[in-house]
Amino acid sequence: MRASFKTIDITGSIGMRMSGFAEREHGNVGVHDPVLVKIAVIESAGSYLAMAACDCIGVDLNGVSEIRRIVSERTPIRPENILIAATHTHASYQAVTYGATGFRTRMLYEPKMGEQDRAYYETFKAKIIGGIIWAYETLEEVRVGYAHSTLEGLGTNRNDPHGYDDNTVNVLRVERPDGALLGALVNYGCHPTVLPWQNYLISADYPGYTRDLVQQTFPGSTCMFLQGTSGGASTRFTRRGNTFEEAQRFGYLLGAEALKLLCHIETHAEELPISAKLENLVLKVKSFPSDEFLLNQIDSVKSRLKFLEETNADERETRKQYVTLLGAERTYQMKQFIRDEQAETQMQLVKLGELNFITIPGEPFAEIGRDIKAVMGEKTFVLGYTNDYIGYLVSNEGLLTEGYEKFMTPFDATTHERIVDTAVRLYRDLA
Amino acid sequence: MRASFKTIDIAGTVGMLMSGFNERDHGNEGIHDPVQVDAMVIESAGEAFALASCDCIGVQLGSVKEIRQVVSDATGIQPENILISATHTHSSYQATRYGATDFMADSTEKREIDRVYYELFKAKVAGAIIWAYETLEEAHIGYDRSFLEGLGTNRNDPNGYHDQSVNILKAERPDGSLIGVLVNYSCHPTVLGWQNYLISSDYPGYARKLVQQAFPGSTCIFLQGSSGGASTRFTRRGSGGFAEAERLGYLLGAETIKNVCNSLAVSADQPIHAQTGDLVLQVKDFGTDEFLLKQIEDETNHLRQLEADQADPKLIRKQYVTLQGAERTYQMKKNIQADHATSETQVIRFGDINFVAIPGEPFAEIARDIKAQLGEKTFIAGYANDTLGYLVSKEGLLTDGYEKFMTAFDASTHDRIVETAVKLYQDQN
Repeated sequence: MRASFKTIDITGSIGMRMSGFAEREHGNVGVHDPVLVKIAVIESAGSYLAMAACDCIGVDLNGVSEIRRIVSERTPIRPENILIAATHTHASYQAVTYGATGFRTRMLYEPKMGEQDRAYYETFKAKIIGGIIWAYETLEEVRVGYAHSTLEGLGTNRNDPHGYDDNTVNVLRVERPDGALLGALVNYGCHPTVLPWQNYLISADYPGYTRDLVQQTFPGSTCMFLQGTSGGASTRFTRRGNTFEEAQRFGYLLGAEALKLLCHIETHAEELPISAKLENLVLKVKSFPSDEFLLNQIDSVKSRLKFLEETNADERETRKQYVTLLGAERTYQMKQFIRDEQAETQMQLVKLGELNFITIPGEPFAEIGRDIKAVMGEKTFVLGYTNDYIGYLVSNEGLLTEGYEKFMTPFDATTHERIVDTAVRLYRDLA
Repeated sequence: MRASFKTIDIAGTVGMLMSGFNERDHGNEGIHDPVQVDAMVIESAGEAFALASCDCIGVQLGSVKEIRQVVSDATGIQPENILISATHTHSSYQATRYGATDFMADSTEKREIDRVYYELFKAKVAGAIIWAYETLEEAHIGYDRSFLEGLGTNRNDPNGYHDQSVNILKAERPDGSLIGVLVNYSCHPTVLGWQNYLISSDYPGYARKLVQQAFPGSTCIFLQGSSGGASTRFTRRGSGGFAEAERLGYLLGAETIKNVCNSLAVSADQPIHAQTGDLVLQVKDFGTDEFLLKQIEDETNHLRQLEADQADPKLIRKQYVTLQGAERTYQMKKNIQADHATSETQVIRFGDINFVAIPGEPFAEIARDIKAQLGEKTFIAGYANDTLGYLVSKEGLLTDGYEKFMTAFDASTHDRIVETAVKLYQDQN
């Protein structure tokens, strides 16, 4: 078995618009920490797996398809064996979604983008392509091992701190034959929104600190963070502030858990079969209520917010109500611009021995990941924000909870089953 | 509230004898990683307490009292507020216990270099505490506790009782940067075996290194716990060595980082109270010479049988050290004339956090019973202030093994330690 890990810097220029918060009024004012693409290529038993995890809000299927095509023209890595994920940091450039088409553009709140954004987007894709090819060309002999654990204190269900959330930390350890760590994949589900909309500095948010801790502990290694099923999970109920220090505290919490797993994992040199498949995912756009209902809904949420503000309620509850109002307003806007009855996107399953990497093209709720793992087993990395971005993918349980995400999703109540069914079909096809 | 953490190197010279394994037949051949003394001083509500943890096999009450006096004269910190412990690394210098005259004293010839090292060692421990005292800065203090799997286990029965708690006390500056963290965990630092002739702090050194790398400018102190019956025998991979010490140390270091991240630091002054008290332990009835020699013969035969059967190396190692214990019992009978030993127990209370010093190698059940009375926010410092050898719990005495043979004391040991600690605690209420 052979592998290679690479890091490519995707920092852009000052003034470019950031993505993730509707409230921001101007472009970034500088860089706090560089945003990166972490790349891993694994070759085993004659097949390949290529992964790129980008410090950005999301990626679009057009760009991903282009990356796959060019990489597969220049290497033996097949398109379906390449996955491109976003960490979903809310402190990176919106230009990564320049190429998004259809209602995806509207889902991302993007105001009109310009030539600088186009140039960034083209460079962004080229850098990912270059990074994967570079990794492919520098493959070296490795041993791999896997372990998972659970972590308390970072993410929780952001509508109900006692509600369901997947606290699993999945780690894949890839080491050289002498035992030195070459690279680590760390998969965890929690919104990288420790830094708020008021932050105008580019940053990888907490996942960047996780990677730093692992890499400084094992010099010469590369740590890749793979975002999980964090559609309904954030640090809303665990964070003590919205600062870089707090992002570091959370990042180190996850990094330390990853270090523990890296110390526990026993590795093996045996070749593992790699297989991969892509499958269309069709989601139904929800039926929006009447304009009158939606406008009343906005008024009702506004009144509740005003009440919370006037009574100096818990800051977290007020924040939750504030984003619920954003969601209610967004629902009304969506009704105006979404004309399609359905959205077509893509899911992907890559198997590496007993390990599964299943990709979801948006912001999946944890219950969706839970139901996929129930079929595929615990050794499954459920990767949200991967290969495409079509907004919130709310679980059946999530639709029963009042909150921002329920409003924000453009899709109906069949979403949960459609995603799980597609994942299970892929899994059975590759069995 | 103010705090300071300081570190002083206590590396000696090549050739000095190491301590911890009888099998070693010559002095150290060099240094793998520097051994050190880490000191912490906390001042709160007009009172201060100090704690020093030394990379060595153990300390003795005579030298601890000397250090306390020097520190007290220089700083005003009361002697009973000063705790000196050893990490119990088996890869440091025997000379830290040069002054020992009790039955636990090493039988090897004492050399001038050992005397010089010993004097310097005491001066450095006192110096580290005084330095910390002189550099106290405003601090917020936090506490957290978790449990760690995969490092230490009960070394006679991997499924037997073991205290896996990782207690931390951290001191932060008002800006949130970490001054230092004290981490208390129980496991013999014997990842490096007797075949190692390089000076090292073993796994605790790697735990400290990881934490200090994560929080540049901070100091991490490792405080050994109730590890008399706990080691990495059933968790370490291969034949140990430095890479394995690093792996296991990083495991503890990562858990410590998590606790540092999770704990909330508060600035409110907390009262400090401390007291020391005599601990009197009864020497056990060793049995007749005939019985002890027969015991050695039985254990030797058992070991030979396991070797002939090519049994699990961990079981062979366990039987090997059991035989050592049987031999040691026979020797102890010759060395010990007294029917009891007097040492010291110490309890320092800092708000709702307690530090209990136990002068030897306590089994985890003893710590469990102390915590049951004092609460979970209790740091048990084994190997602290004195060295009385293994302090075996009642449960431990029911298990055949090295430690049961190696202890000099009878079955009342467990209760005597718990009762002394609880009495000191209650006297402060």
